Order: sequence, then structure tokens, then C-alpha cells
Amino acid sequence: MNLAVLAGKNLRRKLFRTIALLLSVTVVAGTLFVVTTIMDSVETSLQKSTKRLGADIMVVPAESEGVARMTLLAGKPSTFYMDKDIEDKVAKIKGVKKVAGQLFIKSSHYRCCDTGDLFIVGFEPDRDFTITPWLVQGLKKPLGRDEAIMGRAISAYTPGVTAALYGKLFSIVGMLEQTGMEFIDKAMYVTIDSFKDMVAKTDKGDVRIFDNLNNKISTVLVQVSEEYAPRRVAIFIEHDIPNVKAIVSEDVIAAVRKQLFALLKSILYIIGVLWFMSVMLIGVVFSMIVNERQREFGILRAVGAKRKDIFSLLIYEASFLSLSGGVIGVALGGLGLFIFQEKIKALLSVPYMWPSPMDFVVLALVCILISLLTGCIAALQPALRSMRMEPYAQIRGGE
Amino acid sequence: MIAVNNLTKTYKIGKETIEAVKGVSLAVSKAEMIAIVGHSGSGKTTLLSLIGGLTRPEHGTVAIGGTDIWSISDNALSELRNKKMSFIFQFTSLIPTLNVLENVLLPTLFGKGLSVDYAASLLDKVGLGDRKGSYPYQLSGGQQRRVAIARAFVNDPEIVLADEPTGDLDEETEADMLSLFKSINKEKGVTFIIVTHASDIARQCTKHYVMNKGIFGEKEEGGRLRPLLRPPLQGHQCP
Amino acid sequence: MKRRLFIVALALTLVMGGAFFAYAAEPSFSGIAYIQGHGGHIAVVDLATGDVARYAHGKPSDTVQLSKDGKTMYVFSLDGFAKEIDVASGKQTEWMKLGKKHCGSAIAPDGMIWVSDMDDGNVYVYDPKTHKLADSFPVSKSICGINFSKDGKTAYISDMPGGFVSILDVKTKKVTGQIKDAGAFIHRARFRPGTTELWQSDGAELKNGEPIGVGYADSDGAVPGAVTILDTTSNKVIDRVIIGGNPHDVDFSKDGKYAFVSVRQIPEQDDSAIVVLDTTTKRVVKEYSACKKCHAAMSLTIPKTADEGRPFLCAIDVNWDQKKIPASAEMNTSGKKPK
Repeated sequence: MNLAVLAGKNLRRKLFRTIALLLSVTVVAGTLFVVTTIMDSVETSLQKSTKRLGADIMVVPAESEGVARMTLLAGKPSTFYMDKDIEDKVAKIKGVKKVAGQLFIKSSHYRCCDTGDLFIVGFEPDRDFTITPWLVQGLKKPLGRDEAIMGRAISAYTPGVTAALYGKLFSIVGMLEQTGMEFIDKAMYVTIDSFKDMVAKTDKGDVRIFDNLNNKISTVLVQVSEEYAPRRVAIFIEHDIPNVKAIVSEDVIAAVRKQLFALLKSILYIIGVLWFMSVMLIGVVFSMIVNERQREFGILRAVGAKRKDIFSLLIYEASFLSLSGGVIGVALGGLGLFIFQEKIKALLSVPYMWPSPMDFVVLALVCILISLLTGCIAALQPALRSMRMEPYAQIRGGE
Repeated sequence: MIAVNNLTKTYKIGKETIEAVKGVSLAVSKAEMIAIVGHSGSGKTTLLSLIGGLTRPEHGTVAIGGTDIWSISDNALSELRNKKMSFIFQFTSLIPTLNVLENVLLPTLFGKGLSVDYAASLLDKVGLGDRKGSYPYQLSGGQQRRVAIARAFVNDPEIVLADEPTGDLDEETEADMLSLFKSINKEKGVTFIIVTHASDIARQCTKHYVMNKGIFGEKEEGGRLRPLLRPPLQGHQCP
Repeated sequence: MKRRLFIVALALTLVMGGAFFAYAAEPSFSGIAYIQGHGGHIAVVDLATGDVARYAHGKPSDTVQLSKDGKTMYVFSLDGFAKEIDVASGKQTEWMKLGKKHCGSAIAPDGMIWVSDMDDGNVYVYDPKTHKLADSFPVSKSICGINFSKDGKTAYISDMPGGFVSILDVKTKKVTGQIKDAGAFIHRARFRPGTTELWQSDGAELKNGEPIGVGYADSDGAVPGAVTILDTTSNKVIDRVIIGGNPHDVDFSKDGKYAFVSVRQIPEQDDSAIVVLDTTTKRVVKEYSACKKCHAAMSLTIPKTADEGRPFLCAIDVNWDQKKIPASAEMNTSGKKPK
């Protein structure tokens, strides 16, 4: 037998009280774990999104800023167009290192005709720095006019398969990594030049779908020189080119982070209050325990317990209690996250992804550590008080 | 072995100051078995606690084996209690979450370790060998007292401070326990200071003293108390 | 002998009396001062008559910038917007988003307007031709006053709580140095014409080293408001002129003989004012009420929620070529509240 065993036995003595205290820590640890995991996930998700985008700035038509931001954040495909010569104008702006134009077609535009519900992105393989780096296997040669790359979510079209779009056949030559963003995962990537072929084909047919798409572009993705801040280059772009909006990737993240974190922070404040209440509750209960068990501590001192033994005994009890609460809370929180992950994704409107396993472990450990500290801090004063009392006073106090 | 010199201890209850022990001096030799007799509230228990280092006196000293127990550190005092002394309290002093055997082994938790077999043999001696796994709430008051007595010997103490050790016991068990005390006293040379208000127990001790309203002394003829001041008197020789 | 003594005494009296009168006589000026106010309007003060009118624009602001031809006022608000007001017609453009919280402004040698931001420490470059934001770059933490050297190669930008002035290379827009100890809580500054002296307003909104809120400098242990004179040749502080109240900006007469300091919370007056300093003697020679005179005429009251009900002015820009308050400015002497 040792002090830890004695502490464990003491906790079992008043089981209902122990469970009530444990639950209070469980609630704090569980909510803290859920909120911090979501915050971490949002952060990871946002960072992955912009990294995946690969561009420092996304230039879009000024009036389409809102939908463009939504595309970036929620991964929902949308279409908007501006003149293609904007791409060259952007390339000439001070601080711009690379530009890559992209043209989007929404699936609804061609629902009548072809392969199915696809989002088509036209890009320029010779200028591209945002799509080809994410190929699962690198292309052996530059993408041809009759070739296409598929997003990971379109499992029906794997490399080697041929797909028809507006009467034009494309052979699939590559697939992208999974990103979690719908507009990337559920898209088919072809060269902008291929669009011209499709336009030519449809022009001959009954339906003229691409009327306005010649010499149009949806967005210009910009990589900024190292010596310039993306925000500054965005100002240059907006100043020099009329009717465009230069969306800075990190600003989008910052704005969303601010918005979401404001909500999550308010929950963190509530957790703070809950934590404080939990500390107070455990503190009050341990204070009562010390009063109730004064004689017991006196007896322990009489049979040779040192002051530190009494202190340790109470801290052990509080630690076991809060540690168990923390572990249970984290486990339940994790389970809740797992069960409701789809709902959370929908609620936050971000391509929510789990944090990295390392982050997950660190968060769990931090939450458990905080729980452990909860008990220790709460029991500190009662433990110090009982430690400092004279044994005979304790024995008499219990009379 | 034990030299108590001019001990005084007061308590404050509200605004009132109560002198529980007033200038008590006493010398107890090794292997002596002395009794301190007195009415409730006479200061016997407080005196025992002062000797055991459970409470600090306002004045006076307690020396055990030549060491003033109030001049050593709190940790050293705890060790002294763990290795050289043991207490039998007048109230139930078992830890409710521990079973009988664990209660007996309690002093070993803080230092001096003796075997479980030894603890079991002590339980046999107090007649509870078959209740090792029972919890205090499953025992009668008398049985609990006997467990406490067994615990008092588990650390092989040099001094036993017993406060009404037979309070809850029937006459037969009381006699058994006293004979156990006597045999341990004789065989191992353990010093006993027994506080009691039962004069028949006191008579079985080598000496006995009387305490009244904090004053320690020997009884004079006619029932008056003659205070024992320095140098300590030798007390009555028991018949 | 007696006669000689009398003549000497008379001469002394005349000299001393003349000196006293010369000292006591207020100088007179001719020009129109434009002063930005926290109440969402610009005070227009006739320096010849002391009359006050206003241009209301609607957003609490700290800075106002007159174009070089004096025809346009550029307003940069405390919530990061820009607006242009045509002085002659009073016509105003829509608010345009620029930065976050603007404090000071100055016309750069290339004609752009540099606007400081006290929230993010960046300079926002406003292009008055395109009416757009043209550039933005970081300087320090919380910046306010901006000034350009005569050759236009160097900019001096004041950091309010930092109490230092950053020296910038205008071409590269990079900080190249710092003038330290420019004050306790500094705002806008101005070069004294014909010199390398940068007169830095120091609101000194500090008490025992701690900020004590906006615009107060009471005598109870607070540092009095002042103007610190920095020499941009040696990059050192050369003098400090205590003014009291809460100085926020400085402008100069064309010849540099007088400094016009816009001061909030003039001691013992519940008003903000233009305090005129003789730049040689460094003494106060005149004061103009910049807020109350107009507020009283227009029966304006400041809600307790805004600056504790006190009138707060900020930047000052004087047009010395203008002789009358423009007709488009709002002026009311009837005592009735304007519609």
C-alpha cells in the first residue's frame, strides 16, 4: 500500500461526490478539446486551402469579389469572367513574379450535353504554378489540347480513360491530390486552348454555349516576388487596373480566422468560466473534505505521516479525480467530433479537415494537463491548510 | 527515557483561555508502565499529546531519550513518532477506507516497514485474526479498539501512549488487553503511559499519577492533590 | 543734474513702455486655417477676424490635407476612409476605403498623399488623380505625423506612443533611422519654413508614464503638452516649448516667424484652440477659439459619449493665400441650430 492507493480508496469512499466532481472536469476538458481541435482544424484547413491554391493573390472581376472569396473558402465552384488581356496587365505590375490565368465553366452550363456534373477549369500549362505541382504523378510531357487532368473526387475518370466534353474527346492523363475543396477535387482541368476547340465544335452545332467566352478569363493567379508583400502588390494591381479586385490569400484567411475565431473565442471564454467554476467547486468540496477528515489526518500524523504526506495525499486525490475527468472528457469530445464531423464542416463552411495526428495528440495532452492542473490548483489551498494544522488540533477538530 | 519538565498548555475557546496543563513535570524510565488517572477534562489527553509531540506546549520541555522533541524539525518529529512511539486513542481511530490488516499496517506506510505476517500475528493476539479483510464499519466499537491496539505495536515502538485504551471493551477483553500490554512491556521493554479514569487499570501499573484541572500530582491522604513540581516525584509504587 | 536724470528716466520709461506694448500687442494675420475635428466636421478659422465656420463630412477624423492649389480638402477618417471636398463648392465625394485608422497625412514630392495609420503602423498612399489607394508599406507600430524634407528624398514619420520619429528613404520606402525622445505621446509635426527644424506636437497624454486617455493633460502629475523641436541635420532634440493642453499639430506662417499649434483642452477653457507661438521668443502671442465659438453660434452640443463631451480638434492646414472663409462653408451667426 502507498499514498496513491490510499488516495484512490478515499475517492471511492464518496462515490457520488467523486463522480459529480469528475463530471465537472469532464465537461471542461471535453469542450476545451472540441473547441481547440476545431480551431486547429479550421487553421489547418485554411492554410491548406491557400497552400493548395498556390497563389499569393487571386485577381477577379471587381463585382465578383464575394463569390470568388466563397470559392476560395468553401470550395464551392462558381463562375465569373473578365477580359483575358488583364492577365498581361497583371504580369507587368511591380512585384508580380508569376501569373497564371484560369477559366471556369459551371456544370449547369453544359448539363444538357456531356459527361456529367463536372466543373471545368481551363488553365495555361506553360504558365501554371498552381495545378501541375499537385499531380499525384508528374506528367511526362506538357498537357496537350486533347488531354485533361482530373480532381481526386471524380473516381470514374482515371488516367487512361477518355471523357467527352461538348463533343470533344479528352484523354485523362493525370490526377490531383485530394484537397477537400470541392472546386478542386470535383474539377476537370484542361488547357485554355482546348476551350477554343470546344467553342468551335459547339459553334457548328445547335447550341452556342460559349458565346461570350472567347478572350475571357475567370481569374488571374499571382505569385509575388519575395521582396514585396502580397498586400502591397494587390494595391498596385487594383490601382493600375480598373474594375478588378486583387484578393490576397492571407487576407482571406485572416478575415475568416478572425470571424470564426471570434465565435470560438467566445466559447473559450465560456470554457474559462466553466473551468473557474470547476476549480471553485473542487476547491469548496476539498475544503469540506479537509474539515470532515481532520481527525483522519491527525491520526496519520500520529502514526508518522509528515506534513508533505498529508499534502501529497490530498493532491493525489484531486489529481486522480481531475485526470480521470480530463481523459474521459477528451475521449468523449473526440468521439463527438468524429460523430458530428460532417455537421461541423457544414456549420463552419470550410473544407474542414482533421488536424495532423501530432496536433491531435498535443491538443489532447494539453487538455488533459489543464484538467490535471484544475484539480491540483483547486486542492492546493485545502491541502496546504491541512498540512499546516497541528496533529492534536486535527484530532480534536474531529471530535 | 521520558523527561517532562514544567509543561504548560493553554487553549482559547472563544474569549476564554483554558489552562489544560499547568506546569507538569514527570520522569518515566525505560520499560516503566505508568498510569495517569483523572476525571474527564482534567488535562490527561492533552498531556499525552504533549508527550507524543502532537501539540506544542507554551512552556516546558519534553525529552525522549535525551532529545528535546520540540527542538527537532517537524519531519524528524514525525519520524520519531513513526519509529519510536505509538498512540492508542480513546476514540475510533481507524481509517474507514482501509480494511483491518491495512489499518494495522498504516504506520508502515510512512517509514518503518514490518511484514504483513507480523501485523497478522498482532491481530491474532488481539483476537481478530479472522477479520483481516473486514472494514471498520463491519466491526463493533470494541473490535475497532482492538485493531487500534494491534496497530500500536506494528512499528515495534519503544513508547506506547495509550488514552483510555480499554474504553469500549468488556471486562474480559479489557483484562486480555492489559495482560498483552504487560507481556509486551516485560518482553520488549516497551514504556507505557496509560491515561485512564479506571483505578483498577491504574493499580496494575508500576506507578500512577493523578491529574486534576491541569495539575499533575500524587494523591495525599484525605483525597487532596499535592502538585508535583520540580524535581519530579517518583509516584506511588503499585502494590 | 535733476533735468538730466529726468530725461534719462523718461527715456527709460519710454523704452520699457514701448517694449511692453510691442510685447503685449497681438500680431495680426491674414489667412484661412482648416482644422479637422472629431465631430465629423472641419473648422474653418479666419485668422484675420477669428470667425469660425465649418464643413461637415460625417466621420470622426484626425487629419485634413489641403491640395497645393488650396482647392481641395482631403479628409482621412478614424475608421480608415478617404474623402475629397471641393473648397469652392463644398461638394463631397463618397467615402473610399483606405486603411484602418488614419492619423496624419502629407503630400509627397510625386503628388501622392501619404496617409499614416495609427492602428497598423502602415503608410497608405492615396493617389488624388485616380482617387485610389496606390501603395501601402509598414513603418512602425502606431504612426501619425508625416513630413518630407525640402529635397523630397527623406520622410519623417512620428510614432505616437513610441515617442520617436522614423526617418524613411522616400524612394525605397524603407526606414533608415530614428530620432528618439521626440516626446511622450506625439502627433503631427511640421518643418519650420527655411530651416531644418521639425516642430513636433506632443500631446503628452500620459500620467506617471501611463496613457491617461484621449486628449487630457491636467496638472495633477501629468506631463504638460508641448512642442518638441527636432533638428533634422543632427537628428537630435534641440528644444521643448511647453504649451499646456494637448497639442496635436503645428503649421507656420509663410516666413516661419509664427507657429500655429492646434491644441485640445486649453487649460482652464473647455475648448480647443489655435495657439500662436513666436518662433524666436518661443512665447505664446495669440489664441483663436477653434471649436466653441462656432459650436455656440450653431447651438451644437457634444454628446457625453464622444470624448466626454469635449470639443477635440486635430490637424491644422493654413491657406495663406485665401483671405475669406469660403462661401460654401457653413456659418451661422443667428444662434439657431443648422438644419
